[in-house]
Amino acid sequence: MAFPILTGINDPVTSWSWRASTRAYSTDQYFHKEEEDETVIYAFKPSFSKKDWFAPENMSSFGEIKMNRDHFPCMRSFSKDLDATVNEAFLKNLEVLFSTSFSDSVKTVVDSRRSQRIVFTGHSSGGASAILATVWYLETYFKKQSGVFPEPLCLTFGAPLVGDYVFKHALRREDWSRFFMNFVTRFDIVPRIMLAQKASTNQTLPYALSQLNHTVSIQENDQSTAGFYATVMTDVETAAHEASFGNDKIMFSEENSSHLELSPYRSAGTFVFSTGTRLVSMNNSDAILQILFYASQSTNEQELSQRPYQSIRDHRSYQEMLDSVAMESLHHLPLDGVYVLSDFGLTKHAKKCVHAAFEADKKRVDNQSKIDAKLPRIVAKLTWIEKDYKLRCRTLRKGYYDSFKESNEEEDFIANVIRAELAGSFDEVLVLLKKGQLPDGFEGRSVWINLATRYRRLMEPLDIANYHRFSKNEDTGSYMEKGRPNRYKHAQRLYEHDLLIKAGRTAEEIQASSYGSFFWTEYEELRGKQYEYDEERVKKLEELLEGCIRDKEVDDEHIFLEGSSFRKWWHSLPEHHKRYSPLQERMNYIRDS
Amino acid sequence: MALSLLSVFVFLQVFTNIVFAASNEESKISVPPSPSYKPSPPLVKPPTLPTTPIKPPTTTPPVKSPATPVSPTKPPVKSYPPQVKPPTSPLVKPPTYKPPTPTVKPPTKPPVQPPTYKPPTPLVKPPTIPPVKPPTAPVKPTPTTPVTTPPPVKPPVNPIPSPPVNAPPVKPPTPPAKPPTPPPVRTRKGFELGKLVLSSGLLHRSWNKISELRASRAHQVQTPGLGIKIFQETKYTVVVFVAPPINITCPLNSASTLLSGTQDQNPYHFLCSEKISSFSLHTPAFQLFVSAYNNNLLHLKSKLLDLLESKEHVIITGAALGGSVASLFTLWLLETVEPTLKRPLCITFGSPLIGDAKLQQILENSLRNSCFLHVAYASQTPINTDFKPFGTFLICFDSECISIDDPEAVMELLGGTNTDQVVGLIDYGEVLDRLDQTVMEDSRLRIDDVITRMEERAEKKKLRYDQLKKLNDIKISMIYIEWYKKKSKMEKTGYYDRFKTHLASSVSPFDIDIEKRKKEVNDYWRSLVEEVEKKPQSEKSLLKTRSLFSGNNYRRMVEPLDIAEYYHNGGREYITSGRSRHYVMLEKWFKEEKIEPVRCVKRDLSDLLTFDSCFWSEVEEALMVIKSLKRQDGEREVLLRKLVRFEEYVWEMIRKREVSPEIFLEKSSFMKWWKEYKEIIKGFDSSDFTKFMNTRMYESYGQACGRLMINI
Repeated sequence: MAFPILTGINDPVTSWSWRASTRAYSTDQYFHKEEEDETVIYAFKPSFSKKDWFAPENMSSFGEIKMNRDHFPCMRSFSKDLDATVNEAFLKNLEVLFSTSFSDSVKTVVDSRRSQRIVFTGHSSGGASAILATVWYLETYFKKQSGVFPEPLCLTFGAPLVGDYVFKHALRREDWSRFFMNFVTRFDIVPRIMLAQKASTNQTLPYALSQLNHTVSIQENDQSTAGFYATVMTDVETAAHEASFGNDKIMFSEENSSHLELSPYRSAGTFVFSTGTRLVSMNNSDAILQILFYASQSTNEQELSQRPYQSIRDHRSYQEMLDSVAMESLHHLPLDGVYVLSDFGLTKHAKKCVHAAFEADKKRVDNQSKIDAKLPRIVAKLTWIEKDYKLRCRTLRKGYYDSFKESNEEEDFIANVIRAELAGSFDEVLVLLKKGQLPDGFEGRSVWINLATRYRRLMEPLDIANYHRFSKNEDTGSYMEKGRPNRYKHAQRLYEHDLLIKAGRTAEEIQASSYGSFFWTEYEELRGKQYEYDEERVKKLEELLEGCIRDKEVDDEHIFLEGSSFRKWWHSLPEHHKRYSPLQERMNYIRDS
Repeated sequence: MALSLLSVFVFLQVFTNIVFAASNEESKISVPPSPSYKPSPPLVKPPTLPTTPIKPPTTTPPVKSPATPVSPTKPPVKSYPPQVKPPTSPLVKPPTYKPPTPTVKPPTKPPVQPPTYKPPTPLVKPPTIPPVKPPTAPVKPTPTTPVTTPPPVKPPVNPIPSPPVNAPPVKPPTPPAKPPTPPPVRTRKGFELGKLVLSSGLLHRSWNKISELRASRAHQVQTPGLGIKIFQETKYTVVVFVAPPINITCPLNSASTLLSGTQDQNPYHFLCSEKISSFSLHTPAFQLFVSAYNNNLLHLKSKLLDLLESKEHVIITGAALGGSVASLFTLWLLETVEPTLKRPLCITFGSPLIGDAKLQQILENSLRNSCFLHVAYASQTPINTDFKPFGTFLICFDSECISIDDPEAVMELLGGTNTDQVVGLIDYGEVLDRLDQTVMEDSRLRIDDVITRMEERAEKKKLRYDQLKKLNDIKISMIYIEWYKKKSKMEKTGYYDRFKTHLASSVSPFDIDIEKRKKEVNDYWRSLVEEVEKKPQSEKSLLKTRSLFSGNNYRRMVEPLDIAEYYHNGGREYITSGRSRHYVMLEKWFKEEKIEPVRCVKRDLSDLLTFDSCFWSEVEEALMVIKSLKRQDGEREVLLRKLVRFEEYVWEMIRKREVSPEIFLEKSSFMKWWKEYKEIIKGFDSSDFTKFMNTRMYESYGQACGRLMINI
C-alpha cells in the first residue's frame, strides 16, 4: 500500500491543500483555485446547510441516488451490471459547480499542458465535492489517454462518505482509487454522518451542522450535540457489524428479508486516520468502517461523555493535526500490523474485526492467484480450438460452426468437452466476482479483458451452435433473449468498456461489437423461415456482417468456405435478392485452400 | 446454466453462510472447486471405439506435428494435410499474455505470480488409456503409466475434498478433521450477527410494543385469550400477539397436534411435500391460532400482504406463547408471500418451540426459514425435546449473545437448566438493555465444542450441496454420452443396442467409461429429485423450472440405457416394476409445465431424442410378445392385439415426429422387431405404418426439408 503520489503528511501539497481548503471558506464562488509551479489546486467551499447534505426531494433512506451511466460510464459493476450510488445532494453540488466557470477552468489547465498535477481538495462537504469533481475529471479527461492528462489528486479533510460499494469497486477496478486520500481525525463526526439514517437525524442535523462550522464557538456539554452523536453512533455500530460479514450475505441484508436500514455508503480511496500522535493509513473499506465505530468507543464513562464534544471539535482540528503530527509517524495498515491501532483505544475484539477485514482482502488476492494459475490451461484450450480445431474444419471446407453443429467427428466431440470445461472456468470466475471474492481490480486487468474477449469470440458461436442443435430455441426461446449465458454478457460488457476507455469509438461502433453473436442467432432463425416474410431481416443481417468481420467478431475465413451452411443458405435465397446483395462478391469467390 | 448455478448459490447462502462462512480456512479458495478447478486433469480423453474406427477425412499419412497439443505418445487427433499445418508450435511458446498487473497491492509480495510456463499437458490423452478420471489429482503426462504417477502438486493442507467423479454424491467424503479448539475468528460471526441484531433496534422496537399491549391488558381481571394489535408507524408495521402464560407441567401444554390431510383439514397444507405429508405442532399454540383464525386473521392477512407489496417492513412479534402464535401466523402468511415480495419478519421472545422434526426439515433450506428470529434466554427457555427449532436464534447469556441458525447447536445451547415451569415471565426488555450496555471484549462463553460441531455440520451440508456445483461435471458427462450415441449411430446400431451388447461383453474402455458416467449423472439427478421432493409444494416450482429442461433432456438421453441394463439383466415390465422414481417425477414435472414448443416442421431430426423415454421398454415388451407368439405361449389373439397396439403407438410417434430416426438403424432392436412382425402379419400389412416400413420411407424420416408423411 505504497502511495506513489503522496509521500506523507509532510508533502507540501498536503498542507498547501489544507490552506487552500480554508481559504475556500471565504470565496464567494463555489471553488477556489491556486496555482504554483506545476501544480494546480481546486479547493471547494463547504456548506453547513442541511439541503446540501441531503437533497430535500430525495425519498431514499440515506439520500442516495444512482449515478447516471451516460455521464459516469466507468462508475459501475460489470459482474452485477449495477451503477454506483452516491449521495444526491453531493452530486447536485457538483452540478452547481458546473454552472460556474469550474469546468472551463479545468479545461484551460488541461489544455495548457503546463501542469503536472491537479489537486482537488476540500474540508467537510467541500471534500465530498472534491471527490466527485475528481471522479468527473477522471471520466472526462484522464481515462481517455493516460500519460497525456495530468494525474489528479483528491485530498479531503473530514469529508463525509460519498458513494456506495460499487463506487468504491469501480474506482479500484480502474486503478483510480490511489488518487483519493482522505484525512480523518479520530473522533470527527462527519465521516460517520452518512452511515446514519436520514430520518433519525432529521431533527438534530441542522443544529449539528451549524456547530461544525469553524466560525461558531462550541460548548462541551451540549445536549443537542450529545443526542445527535448518540443517534449517529447507533447506526455506525450497525454498519460496522454488518461490514464485518464482508461479502457473506446474511439474513438481514438479503434484499427481500432485510428489515434493517443499512447505509449503502462505503469509504473509497485511502483513509488516513489521526490518533493525535500518529497517522494510520488504510484503504480497506470494511476495516475503515470498523475504525469509525470502535475508535470512538471506550469503557470509561468520563471519556464517553466527552465524545459528542470531541466529535465536533475534531472536525475543526485539521490544522492542529497537520501541525502536531510528523511524517515519521505515518503507518500503513495492514503493513505495519494492527498494533498501531492501540492509540485508538481499540479493544482486542475491535482489533480482531479490523484484522478480519484485512484477512478478507488477503483471501481475495489469494483467489486471484488461484485463478491466474489456471490461465495457462484455459489458454491452451483456446489455442487448441483456434489452431487445431478450426484449421481442421477449414481443411474439411466447412467452418467450425457447421462442423461443431453436426458433430460427426471425434474432434467435434473434443471441442464440445472443451466448450463445457471452459464454460465451467468462466462461470466460476463470474460467481467469485459477483460475490466480491476477487480483488476489485480483477476484471480491470487487460490480461483478463483480452482473455474474456478471445474466449467470447471463439467459443460463443459453438454455444450458439449447441443451442440450436438441440433446438433449444424452440422450447426455451431465442438465444439472445433466453439462452445467452451470463459469462458472455459479462465478457461483452468488459470489452465494450475497454473500447470506451481506449476512446475514439462511438456508441454505435461499440454497439456493433455485439453483433457477432447476434449474427449467428439471427442466421439460425432466418434459416427456418421463408425469405418472402423476412426479407428485411435478411438484408439487415447481410449489412451487419461486414462490420462483424472488420471487428473480428465473425471469422470470414470460415463462413465463406464452400461447405459452409451459411453459403448454402445464401445461395438458396431468391435470385433477385442475391443480385443486389452486398455479399455477392464474397459468395462468388471461392478461396483457394 | 450460469444463472441456475448462481441462483443456487444465492439460495444456499441464505442458509449456510449466515454463520459458517467464517469457517473457510485461509488456505482455501472460498468457493469449492468446480471441474475446472481440478489441478490438471488431461483436457479431454477421447473415447475410443475399437470396433469401427472412423477414417480421417483425408488419406494423407498421419504426420505428427508438434503444433498439436496432443499427448506425447500418440495423437488421437488425426493429422491433416501437412501443408496446412503451420510448423509453429502454439504450446511450446509461453502464453502470450503479460503477467497481470496487480491492482490491489499487498504490502510484501506481489499478489499474483506471473503465470509461468508449464510443459504442455496433453489436450488429448492417448486412445489406449481408459478415459477414467483419476479421482484424486493432477497426473503429469508421462508416456508410460500416467495413472500411477504420483501427483506433482501437493494438495492444500485442508482442501475441500472434490467429490470423486464416480462416487455417489449422496455420500460425501468425510469432512476434514477440525482442530479441537477453533480460532476465535470463527465464532466471531455468530457474535457479530448477534450484536448487529441488537444494535439494529428491531428487538427493542418489538419488545416495547409487546409490553405496551401487555400493560393495556393487565388491568383486565379475567385473563383473556389471545390479544392481537397492529402498531402502524412510518416504515414499520408491528403486529403483536399476546397470550396468557402457560404452565408446562400441565400435560396438555406440552402436547402436540398432528396436521395432515387436505387443504381443508390443514391450514399448512402448502408446506407438505411428496416426501413429508404431515407434521405436528404445539397444541396450545395451534389451538390459540385456530381460535383467532376463525375470527379476524384473514382480514389481517390481506392487510399485511398489501403492506408487503408496497415494500413496507412488517414485523410480527410476541413473547412466550404469544410468540408461538406469531410464528404460526407468520408461517401461514408466508403461503401467499411471493418470492419477489418483501418478506415479513417474525420475532419471538422466549417462546416454546412449536414444531416437530418434520416441520424443521420442511423449513430447512427454505427461504421461509429466514423470516424467523427467536430471542431466547439460554438458561431459562423451556424445551420439550419433541419439538425442534427452526429459523434463526438469538441466544442470550448473561452479558453476551450469539446468533445461530443451526438447529442442533440451538438445541445444545438452549438445553440449560430448566427450572421455570411457567412460560412467559422473563422481561426481555431488561435482558436486551443489559446486553446493550455490555462492551464486549472477548467472549467468555465456553461453547467452543458446540460451535465446532456446528461447523462440522455446516461443512457436511456444504458438501451435500457441492453436487449442485457439480453441474458442470454432469454436463461434461452428458457430452460423453451424447458422443457415445453418435458413434453407435455410425455403427448402425444405435446407442440403446450398443449399450445392451456391451453389457454382455464389455470390451472397450470407452464403454466402461460410459457406464460410469451414466451412474454419475443418475446419482446426481436422483438426489436432486429427492431434494426437490422434500420441498414444500409451493416452493417446488421455483427449483423445478431451473433444471426442468436439462432434467428432461437427461431423462430422454439416459433412461434408454437404464432400460437396456434392466432387460439385459432379465427384467420384465420395466415401466411398472423397474423404473426409478426420479424418472417418473422428472417426467411428471415436465408434463405439468405444459410446455408446447414451437416445432419447426422443416427441422432435421437426427439429434432428436425420442420423446417417450420408455420407448425401448415398449420395444422389448413387443419383442417378448413375438417370442411368446412363436412359442405359442398364450392366446394368439391377445398377443396379436398387443402387437397391433404397439404398432399404433410407434406410428403415432412417427407421425408426430417424436421419435428419433435412430430406431430405424439396421441393427436396432426395433428393426429386429419389425422384421419378425413383418413375417407375422404377412398378407395383412395394409396399415400406414407397414406401408411406411415396406416402402422404406423411413430412410428419409427426419431429414431436413424432406417430404413429410405428416399429411398421409
